[in-house]
Amino acid sequence: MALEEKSVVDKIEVLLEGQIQVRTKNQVLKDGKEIAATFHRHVLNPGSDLTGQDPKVVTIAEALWTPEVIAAYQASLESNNNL
Amino acid sequence: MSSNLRVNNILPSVGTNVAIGTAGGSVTLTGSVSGSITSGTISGVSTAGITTAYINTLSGISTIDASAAVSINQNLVFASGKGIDFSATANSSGTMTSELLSDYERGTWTPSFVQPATSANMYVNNGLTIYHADYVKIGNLVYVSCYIQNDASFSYDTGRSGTDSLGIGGLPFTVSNTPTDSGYHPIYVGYFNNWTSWSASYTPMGYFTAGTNNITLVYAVLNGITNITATYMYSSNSNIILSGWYRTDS
Repeated sequence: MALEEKSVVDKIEVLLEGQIQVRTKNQVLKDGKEIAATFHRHVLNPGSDLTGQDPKVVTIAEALWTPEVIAAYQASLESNNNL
Repeated sequence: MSSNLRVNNILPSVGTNVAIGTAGGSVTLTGSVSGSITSGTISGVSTAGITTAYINTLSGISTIDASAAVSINQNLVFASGKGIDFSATANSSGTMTSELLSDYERGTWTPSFVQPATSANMYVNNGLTIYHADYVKIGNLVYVSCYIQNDASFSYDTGRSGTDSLGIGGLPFTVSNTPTDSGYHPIYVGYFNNWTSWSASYTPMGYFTAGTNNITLVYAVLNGITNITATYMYSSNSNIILSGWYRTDS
């Protein structure tokens, strides 16, 4: 009976304006079978620092976050007066 | 007929039915039924006398028309974007936008102090203690709460200063960037302590910032609000407990 803890990025969601929502699943495994799990989430806005992010997230962000996407995102925030 | 009839396959012609039993009679299954129903509709099945129906797998069934409750001993799994449709219920007098409950999730998030408009990190080497930070998402409505405290005096990150507006970043879902449709949502501050140079007359409050994953912190002044700036949370052991609901587009 071996218990093991494991964290995996199990969901990556890309929003219309380029934000990337990342869900990490923290699992407890018993003999390789999941017996408990919790979720942790974070969001990356266009232009965010990608240091320490999951490689899959980095790949998506680098492809998605063109200068135009970042500029459009910033403009959308200003259009709401940062409210 | 008193003997048993064993049939391997019943293959009715297209448009015809197979009838088992007679009116007023019944069909009794003493063993189990294996295999799957891959298409079609089950309808008109009387549930009288069935007190509990345990269903492990329903495959390809388009309609279940039952007058009794159905108990399922496994999770009910929906495809992405699908859920529970409440459109059969009466609507309010307001403008209804959706009656589909398509998501539920709970978990944790990592609060941090940021400049709310830019999401730029505010402090470095801050030793922030997160006593608690979790979320519950129901449909597109997100509830978050947190209790955070800095363990030592902060140092400002590059380009930041004590006069910068202060916010809390790291929200688990992006705040909707169409607030005129999805609403403007406040936070509720239940507790705070050890803030630097804080006036007894100030009341901390804040709101979820559209299009970001940040909360903007403000305090009430005569006939308006003023941004809480980074200097107020600078000292050791300054802390805050807050919660709130907001809308997301995901």
